[in-house]
Amino acid sequence: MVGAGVSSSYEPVIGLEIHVQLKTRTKMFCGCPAEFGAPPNTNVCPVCLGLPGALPVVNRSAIELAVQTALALGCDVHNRSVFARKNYFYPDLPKGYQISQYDRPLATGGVVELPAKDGSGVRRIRLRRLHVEEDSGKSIHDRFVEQTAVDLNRAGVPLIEIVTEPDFSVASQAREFLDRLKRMLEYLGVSDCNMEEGSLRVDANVSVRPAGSDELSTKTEVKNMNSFSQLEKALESEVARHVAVVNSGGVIEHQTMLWDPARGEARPMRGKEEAHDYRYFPEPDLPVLELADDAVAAAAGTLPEMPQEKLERLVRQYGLPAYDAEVLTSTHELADYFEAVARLTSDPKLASNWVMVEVLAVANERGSSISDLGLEPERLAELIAMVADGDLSHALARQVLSGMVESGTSAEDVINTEGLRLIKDSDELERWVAETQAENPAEVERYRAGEVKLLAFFIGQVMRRSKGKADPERLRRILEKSLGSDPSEDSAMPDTG
Amino acid sequence: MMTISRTDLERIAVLAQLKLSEDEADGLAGDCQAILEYFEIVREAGAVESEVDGPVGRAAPLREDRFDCDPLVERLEDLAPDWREGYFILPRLPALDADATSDDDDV
Amino acid sequence: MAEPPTRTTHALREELRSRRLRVGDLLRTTLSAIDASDADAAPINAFITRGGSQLEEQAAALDRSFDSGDEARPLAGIPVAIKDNISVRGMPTTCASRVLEAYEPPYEAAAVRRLRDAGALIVGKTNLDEFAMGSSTENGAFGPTRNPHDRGRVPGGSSGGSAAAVAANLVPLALGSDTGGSVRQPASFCGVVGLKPTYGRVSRYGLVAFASSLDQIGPLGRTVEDTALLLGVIAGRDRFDSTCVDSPVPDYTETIDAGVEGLVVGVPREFFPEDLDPHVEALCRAALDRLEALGAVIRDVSLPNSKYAVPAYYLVANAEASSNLARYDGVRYGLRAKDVQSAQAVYRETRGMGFGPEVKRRIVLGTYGLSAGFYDQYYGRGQQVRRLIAADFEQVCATGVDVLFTPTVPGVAFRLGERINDPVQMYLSDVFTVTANLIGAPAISLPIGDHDGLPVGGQFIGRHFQETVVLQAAWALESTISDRPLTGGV
Repeated sequence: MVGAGVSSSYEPVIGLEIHVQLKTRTKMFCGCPAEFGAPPNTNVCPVCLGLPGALPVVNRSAIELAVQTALALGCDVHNRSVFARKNYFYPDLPKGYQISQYDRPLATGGVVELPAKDGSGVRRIRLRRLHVEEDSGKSIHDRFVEQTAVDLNRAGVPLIEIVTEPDFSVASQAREFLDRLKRMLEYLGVSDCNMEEGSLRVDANVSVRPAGSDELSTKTEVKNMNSFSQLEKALESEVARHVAVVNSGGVIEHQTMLWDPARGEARPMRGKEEAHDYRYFPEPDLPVLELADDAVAAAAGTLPEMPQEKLERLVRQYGLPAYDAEVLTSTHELADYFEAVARLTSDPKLASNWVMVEVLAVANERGSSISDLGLEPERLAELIAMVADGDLSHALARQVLSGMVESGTSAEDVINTEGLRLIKDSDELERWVAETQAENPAEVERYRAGEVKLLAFFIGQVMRRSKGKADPERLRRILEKSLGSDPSEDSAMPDTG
Repeated sequence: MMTISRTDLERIAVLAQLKLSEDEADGLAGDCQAILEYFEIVREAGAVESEVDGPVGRAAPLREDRFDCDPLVERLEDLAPDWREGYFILPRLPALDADATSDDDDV
Repeated sequence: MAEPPTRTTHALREELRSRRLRVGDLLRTTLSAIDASDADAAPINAFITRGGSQLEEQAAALDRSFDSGDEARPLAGIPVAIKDNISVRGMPTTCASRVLEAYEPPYEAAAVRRLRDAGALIVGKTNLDEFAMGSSTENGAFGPTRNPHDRGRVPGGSSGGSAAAVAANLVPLALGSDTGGSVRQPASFCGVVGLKPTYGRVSRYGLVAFASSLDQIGPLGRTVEDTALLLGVIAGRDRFDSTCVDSPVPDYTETIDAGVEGLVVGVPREFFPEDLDPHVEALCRAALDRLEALGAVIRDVSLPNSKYAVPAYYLVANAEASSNLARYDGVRYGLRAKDVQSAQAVYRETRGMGFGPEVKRRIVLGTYGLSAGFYDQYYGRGQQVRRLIAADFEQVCATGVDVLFTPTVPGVAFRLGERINDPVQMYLSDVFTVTANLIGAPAISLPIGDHDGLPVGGQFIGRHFQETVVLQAAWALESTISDRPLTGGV
């Protein structure tokens, strides 16, 4: 890990290379299903098997998703871009080359802004390029002893590759950037962004230089991180290694490091590095990819609201605190749900509390998504209205919510069947108060001696006795009255302290 | 004038994953040298202004995103030199750890 | 020995339609003629694979169809041979390479599907230079093909098997592929007609790629009209080939006799160099005189950059080939080296033993020309010169020239083995054909006479997608030549 001493004399320079699988029905260059999880080598055809004589044809949907992503990231989308072959041998690369883009990518430029945690402005992460390409298959080395097994179902699945400038100076920024990027991609609906299934993959370039200098140092490439937290750890570890090497007078070698999550260290990949000559050239099987200005403009017109815009709008439109808006926009689904509820209630802040605290808690408890809860926005709005009108206490309403999710019915139904209505009847409340006081004479004494914060204790006791159904407002009034003006006979016992 | 040395030839053979016997390598170095010398004439041709961008300037047609592959009429296992439990099989690649993929690697 | 049918496709169609000739009988005489052509001390060896019993059923079905009177498909019952780098179901596609010796494609080329839909009988797969890399059909793994006119000579290449099969009257029609002249040059050497369509006119889907930006499947036939008929069947858009163009396919035979009155024929002086074989030159000049007599306007033109065409062609073709042939790695299909201990060894050993010397030479040159530090001076330079040649051609067309006329090859068929150890001399036999591939234009070779019993071909090069004009010019010229070697020396 980076110690305080070294991090002040050296500054990390980090760039990211992100591969995102696009959510298309079929592969990039053939009509095979692009789904994950089919039996091995079943979603294959002459094209993605690389059979002699087979040819690629570009998937329109993949290009549309890539263009949307590029536009959302503020890239310049080019009218003409060129597919290129990247030549190398690997068992899961059927043609001996990957169809990608090289010197004329789909899009260049673009910026993602990271607001500083302390509110001091934003950090701009510049994007170098965004291009489309095809995925390789999978080589599985641990299934059979001494053998590599090849599954080509994934071969040809569409990818976009996003390359950032080396604009990160702390590992945590890289993670923050990825969180934002992932959120944007989910909003766009272009990818599942599942790092474990490999639909989002991140490699990093790492170097260090004396703090404040502009010099270019030798980079290493770090691969094989399977979560954002592993990525952050891998970057910190690789930065520390660079600093240690440089501090001890050593030289960083240009090489590829494989992160080992189990051991928490990156190790140089075995194998020959001199073979890094991909011999890119324009893919002769595919004419130039042309995108007319009006097609790009049309794509821009259909872009959904992006997370940051939505966040700002929620603050503006509903008067929410920034924190609430940040939580609510963490997924597109949650934000849409909040808005559906908020439109039906008179108190958006109350709606926000219910959605981001209670509904999310129920969802997390059950490990399901909001939509899987089956909790219609209308029904949640009814519940919130009952709370706002004082017909339900917060605590009771939480029970009702749980019952609604359990039974799939309305608040009214749950209240009726489970008898969860607030008890406002004074006689009942007074009886519980009396019983509670009788059982807790010491606390009554202390309250009367001035320890008024014990009121909460008494409310809690009565609530338990009422199974949460006591109307909190009335209860408070009855308790205050009863504790304050009617000391019991035993209360004169001397203090032994 | 470029010449193609034995070192060049060995580098190329690695890139092209082509095993060459000593005799073959000797023959190839000579042939390639003669051919490259003959190719030198293209240096005399004039310069080109316009960018070279793919076959005959036509635009790539775009395919609708629906299932439409040319079905295979034979089983893959009949095609494969080695096949096991649904996978193509070859001797283990020593360079990588379990379940790594080739993306941008060329070990 | 069975008597092979020497009739044109047109004549065969008539006989089949009138039921004077049965498809079953035609099939049997064709297959036995193929067998006979190989049962000789100097076999023609036009075929790598000959069709078998499945053809009998197809022939029987075709006969029933003719009997019912509603068989109207353009190639119903016509035997057609397919170059063995074009994928046909039910037969191996070897590309004359050890690396694909046992490979049977699990799908079919678009052009072959169209042939089947047109009723053709696919009677076999013809010999070629390995992966179509060569100009003599000597570079294959399964022995050379011999020229039917002189079995001591090569048939040209790389579609030498297809050209020889047509010339020897084994089949009336065949498909070849033309990357730098591989249909036209053997057509010239064997005295048949061969056409390279405009790049994008015929789908390449299922054609095993050699140089993707240059490859086209092309028809070979005994006459210009037969060749036009076959082109009409295989041409047209295909959703599996992005470089195949969606433009209407005219009936090429319908207007084929339109004549050349007023047609402007350009004669590029670079194609008549001082050292051109005088017999070839004389035959070309005579052909031009006859065209002029028919009303064509002959005009001297220049394509100054065409002198760089051969090296530019090889720079581009080899680079693309080095990439296209990377897939033969022994993992998914084809040859796999035995007893190797690592994945890399599988690649290296398989490729080392699977490819022949010419293929290795081209992979090495192509890989070199794309490698870091060499791209600009080799592959990049080749593409630039290609642009220059295309600009020359456009300029000539802009002056009103409709077609160019040139010799197809600088000479006649050479002897077996004569150039096998001299790659540069071998490459130079493509000197007049590569230009059409580099610019993507249609071109046809047809017999214009012979020298010492060996055929000489003339070539028309047309504007993009103007196959109709090229065929009309060729038909007109063909009609003036009485002594063309219609039948080969079987």
